[in-house]
Amino acid sequence: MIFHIVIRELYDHLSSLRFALTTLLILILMIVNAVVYLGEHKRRMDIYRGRTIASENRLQSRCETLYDLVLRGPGHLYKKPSPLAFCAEGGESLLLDEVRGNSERRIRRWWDGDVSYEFTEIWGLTYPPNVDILFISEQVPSERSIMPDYIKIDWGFVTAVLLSFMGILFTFDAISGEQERGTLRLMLSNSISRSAVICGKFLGAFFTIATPFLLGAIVNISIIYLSESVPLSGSHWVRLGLIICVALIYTSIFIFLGILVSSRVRESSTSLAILLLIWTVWVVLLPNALGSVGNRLHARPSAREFMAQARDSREDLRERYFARIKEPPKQETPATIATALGAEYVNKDAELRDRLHASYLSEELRQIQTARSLTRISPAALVQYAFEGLAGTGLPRHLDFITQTRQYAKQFRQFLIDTDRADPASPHAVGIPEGTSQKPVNFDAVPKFEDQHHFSSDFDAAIVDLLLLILFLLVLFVGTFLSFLHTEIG
Amino acid sequence: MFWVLLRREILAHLITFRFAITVITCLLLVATTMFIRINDYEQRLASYNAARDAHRDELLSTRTYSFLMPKIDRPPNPLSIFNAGMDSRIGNTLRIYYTHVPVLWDAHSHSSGNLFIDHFYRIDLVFVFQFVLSLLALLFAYDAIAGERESGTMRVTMSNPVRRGSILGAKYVGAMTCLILPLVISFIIALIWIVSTGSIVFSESDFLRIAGILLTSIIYLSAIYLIGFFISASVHRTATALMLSLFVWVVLVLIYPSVSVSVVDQLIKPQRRRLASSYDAMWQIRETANEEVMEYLQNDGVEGESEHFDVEGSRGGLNVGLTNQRTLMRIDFRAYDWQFISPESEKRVPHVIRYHQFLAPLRIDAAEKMGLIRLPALDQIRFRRARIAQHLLRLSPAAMYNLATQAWLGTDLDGVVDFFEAARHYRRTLINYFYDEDAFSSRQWFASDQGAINLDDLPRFVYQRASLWINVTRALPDLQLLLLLNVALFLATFAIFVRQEI
Repeated sequence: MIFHIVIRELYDHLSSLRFALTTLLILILMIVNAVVYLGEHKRRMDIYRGRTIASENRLQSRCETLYDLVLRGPGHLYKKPSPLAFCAEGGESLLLDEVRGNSERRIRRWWDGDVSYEFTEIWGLTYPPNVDILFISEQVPSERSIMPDYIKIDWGFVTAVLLSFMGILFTFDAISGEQERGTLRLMLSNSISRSAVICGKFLGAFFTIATPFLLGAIVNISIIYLSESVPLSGSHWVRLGLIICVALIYTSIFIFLGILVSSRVRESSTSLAILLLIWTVWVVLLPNALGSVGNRLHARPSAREFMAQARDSREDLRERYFARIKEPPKQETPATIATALGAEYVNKDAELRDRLHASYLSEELRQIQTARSLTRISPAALVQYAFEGLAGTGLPRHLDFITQTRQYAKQFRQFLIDTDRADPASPHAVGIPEGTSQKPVNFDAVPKFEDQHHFSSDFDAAIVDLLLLILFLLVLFVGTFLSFLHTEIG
Repeated sequence: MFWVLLRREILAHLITFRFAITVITCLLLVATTMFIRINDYEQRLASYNAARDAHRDELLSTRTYSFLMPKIDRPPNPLSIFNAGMDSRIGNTLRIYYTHVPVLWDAHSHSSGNLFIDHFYRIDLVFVFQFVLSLLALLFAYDAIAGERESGTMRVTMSNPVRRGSILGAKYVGAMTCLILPLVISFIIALIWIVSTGSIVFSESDFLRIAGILLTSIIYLSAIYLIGFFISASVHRTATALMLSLFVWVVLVLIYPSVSVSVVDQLIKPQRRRLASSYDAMWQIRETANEEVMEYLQNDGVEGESEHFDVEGSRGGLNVGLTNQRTLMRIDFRAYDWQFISPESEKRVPHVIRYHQFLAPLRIDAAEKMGLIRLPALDQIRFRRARIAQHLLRLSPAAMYNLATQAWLGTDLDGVVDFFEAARHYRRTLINYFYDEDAFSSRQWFASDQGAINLDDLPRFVYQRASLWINVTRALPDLQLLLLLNVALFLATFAIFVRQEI
C-alpha cells in the first residue's frame, strides 16, 4: 500500500511547478559551481606546484654546509589544495595556505669587554604575528575584503539552503492540504495505517528532491571529471558518496519537519508561514548570530600585547644564558662550555618562539572553535562542517596541516642532529656555526615536507557533525510519528 | 469606498496567524541582534581607545622632527549596529610618513577581533529585515489577487461601484501598513536599547541617517511586496503564485547576490601586468631621487659621501624600508635622533642642516610622484572588481537595499575610503607643519642634543565621518533604483489587473 502512496505522491510532485523550478535552479547552480571551480583549482594547483618546486630548489642550495641548513631550513611549508573544494569551500580563501618558516635571522649580540659574538636565530615554524590576523592570506585589508559579502556557491550552499527549502516546499501541505481537501479522511477510511501515510509522504518527497540533486551532482562531477584537470582517485569517490549521503540525511530532516508542522496545523498557509520562519531563523539567521557571539566569548590578547609579551620572555631567556656564557664560542672539538651553552641558547630560543606563536594561534583557533560549536545548533551549519570535513577543506583540514608541519619540524631537527653526530670532526653543538659540522649535506637524505590528505583524520572531523545530524533526524522522525498518530482528522 | 476596502484589508491581515508569528520572530531577532552588535561595538570602541592612547603617548615622546611618524586610528562607526558593512573588515590603524602617500592597503587592524569569524558570520538589523520581513511581504502578497479570485470574493467586490484602481490601491496600502508596523516597532526597540546602554552617543544627523534607513527599508519592503503582488495578479492559481513568489525570493535574496559576486571574484582577475609596470615606474622615481642625493653628496664640497658628514657623537636613528609589490607599497623613511654631538664636530653641523634642507623636500616630491602612479593603479587593479561586483549586485533588490543602507550609515566602501582620504590630508597638514616650523632647516630635524622638540603646535588627527549630505548623495542611486522598481511593478500590476476578466 505504501508503494501506491509513494507512486501517487511522486506523480503529484514531478508534474508540479515547484519541481520544475527547483530542478532548474539546482542544475544552474551546479554548473556555475563546476565552471568556476575548474578555473580556481587550476590556479591554486599552479601556485602550489610553483611554490613547492621553488622551495625544494632553495632547500638544495642550502645543503652546502649543515649550518646553512640549520639556519635557513626548508623555508615556508605549503598547504596542498583539496581537489574536492567544489563540495565545500570552507573559507579556504581566508585561511593561510602556508606555515612560514622563520627567515628573519635576527641577531643577538653578546659581549664581554672588547670581545663580542653574534648569535643568529635559526629556522623554526612561525605564523605571521606582525599583523593582527593569522588566517587571512594577505595582509589586511586584502583584495577580497572590499568585495561585497557573499557565500561561496558550492555543494554545501546548494544543500544547506536549497535542499532544505525544497524539503519544506514539498511537505508544507502534505497533511494539512489533504485535510483541507478532505482526501486524508478518505484515505484513512481505507485500510491504510497512519504510519504508512507518513512513510509514503516522506518517501515521495524524498525521491522528488533526491532526483534533481543527484542529477545536478552528476552533471557537476562529469564536468569536473571530463575536464581532466582535477585528478579524482578512489578515496575521493568514497568521500563524494559520503557527502551525498550527508546531503540526503539533511534533506530528510526538513522533510520530517515539514510533515510534522503540516500535521499539527489546520491550514496549509499557516503551516507554510511557520515553516518558512523556522527555516529562515534556523538555516540563515541562527548560524550567523551565534557565530558572531563566538568572537566575543573568548577574549584574545591583541597582536600588540602578544608581541610585547613574546619579546619580554625571549629577552628573559637571552639574559639568563648570556649571564652564563663567559667567552665567545670557538671551533674546537670537543665543544667548549661556551659553545655548548651558545648552541643550547639558540635552540631554546627557537623552541620558545615556536611555542609562543603556537599558543597565540591556538587562542585564535579557540575563538573559531567556539563559534563553530555554538552554531552546531543549526543543521545548516552542521551540514557545512560535515562537508568541509569530508571534502578535506576548511578548519579541520587546516588544523591537520598545522599538525603535519609541526611533526615535520621535529623530524627535520632530528635529522640535523643525526647528521651532525655522523661527523666525527664536529663539536656536536648544533645551532651556531662553530659548533656545527662543516661538511655538505646529501640533499636526497634531507626530509622533505609534503602535505598529505588523510581520509581518516578528515572523517574524524566530520563524524561529530554527522552524528548530530542523525540525532536531529531521529528526533524529528519520532516527533512526526507521535504527532501524527495523535492528530484528530477533522 | 476606498476606505472601506482599506479597512477590510488591514483587519484581514492583522488577525492572521502569520502576521502574529512574524512580528514575534522579528522582535526576538531584533533583540538578539542588538545584543550582539552593541556588545561588538563596545569592544571595538575599547580597543580603539586603547590604541589611540598608546599611539598618542608614542607621538608625544618624539624628540626630533624627522622622527614624527604619527599613527592614526579610525574610530568604529556607532551606526554599524544597523549594518556592519565594511566597518570592521578594513584596517583601522595607519602610520603616516611624510615620505609616503598612504592608501587603504597600508592599514592594519588594531582590534583583537577575529577576522575569520567576522567574514563568516554576519548579523545586523538590516540583515534581519532583508530576510524575515521580505519573506513576510511575499506571504502577504501572493494571495492578494489570486486568492480573492479563487474564492470568488473579487467578483462580489466588483459588483459594487468600485474602480479597479481603488481595489489595487486599497490592497497595496493595507498590506504596506501591516508591514510597516513590525518594522517601526523593531526600530523603536532598537533605538530604546541603544539609548539605554549609554555608551553610544548619536548626533542629530545620526538620527536622520536612521530615519533614512527606515525609509529605505519601507521602499525595499514595498518593492518585494509588489513583486508578489505582480505575480499574484498575473497567475490564476494561488498555489502557483506562492511557488513563484518563493522562488523569486530565494533567487533574489539568497542566490543571486552570492552567485554574482563569486563569479566576479573568479572571472575578473587583477591585472598583474599593470601592477608590475607601475612598480617599475615607482622604482624609477626612487632611483632618480637616490641619484640626485648621491650627486648632492658628491658636489657639496665636503669630503666623503657619508650622510652624517663624519659627525662624532651618539647618532641614533631609524631606517624603515617596507615594500609590498602586491599593494605597490614602497616606504623609504629615515629618522634621526642624534642625542649628543661632540664639540669638535660642531663645525660640520651646518653641512648636515643644509643636506636635510635639500633631502626632505626631495623625498616628499618623490613620494608625491609615486603616489600619483600608485593611487590610480591600485584603484584600477583592486577597486575595479569590487565596483563591478557592486554594479552586478544591483539587479537584486535585496542587495540594493543592503548597499543603500550602508551608504546612509557610512559603512560602505566609500565611507571607509573617506578615512584614507582624511589620512592623506593629514599627511599634507603634517608637511605644512614642517614648513611652518622650518623643521627641515632646523638642527632639531635630526638632533635632540639641545632638547626635544616642542609638540604643542602639532596638528592632531581628528576623524570626522562624511556629512549627512554626502551620505544621502551616495545612497540616492540605489534608492532611486528601488523606487523605480516600485513604480514599474505597480504600473505592470495595474495594467494586468485592469485588463483581466474576473
